[in-house]
Amino acid sequence: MEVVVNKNLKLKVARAKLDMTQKELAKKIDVSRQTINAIEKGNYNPSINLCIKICKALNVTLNDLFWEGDNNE
Amino acid sequence: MNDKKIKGSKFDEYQESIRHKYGFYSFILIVILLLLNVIIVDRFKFFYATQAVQTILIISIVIVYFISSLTMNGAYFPFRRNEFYARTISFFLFLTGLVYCYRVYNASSFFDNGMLNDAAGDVLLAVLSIFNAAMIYYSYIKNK
Repeated sequence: MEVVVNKNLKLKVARAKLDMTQKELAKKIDVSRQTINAIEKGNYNPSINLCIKICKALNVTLNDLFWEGDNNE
Repeated sequence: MNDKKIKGSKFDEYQESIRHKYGFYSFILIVILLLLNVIIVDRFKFFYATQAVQTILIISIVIVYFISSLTMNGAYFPFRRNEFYARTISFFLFLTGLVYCYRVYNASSFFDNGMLNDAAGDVLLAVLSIFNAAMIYYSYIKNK
């Protein structure tokens, strides 16, 4: 049986690669830590503007973080 | 990219969505409580409190629900909040609660003709003020 995981693990991995905490990322893109937490947990779908900001902060593309696919890749 | 709104607003987009969500729920709650109050008082003729206390009771329940929900979801304070602002608000709310406690302490009775009177309203306001002060301070500590 396929288990659907809504968590955005790609974001968490990209953040961890840069050795960045949720708080540091939040400060960099000018949002609250809870917002980053909610996006990583899959509880909130960010706007396209916020997605772009996150991608710029993590030096990745929108496809890398937010395109559908294997979350664990 | 249009960053004007995000930079100008006090809350980020997630916090705004949480505030809108619980604002709507609070509105629904206040409508339900008002209808219940009308049914209890007008239909069943159960005059449990004066009109002022009925209003305070309904508003207290909704405020407690709204503030608790926002605090638990990290949307009570703007993310660029001022620490002084948080501590000052909770301090003055706590003081207000103490003033109401003093009024309650000096009250002779909580009932007039079998109905909750203004002293009972003061109890509600005291609880409301101290609860809100505690929640605001908790929110400040939690997000520090």
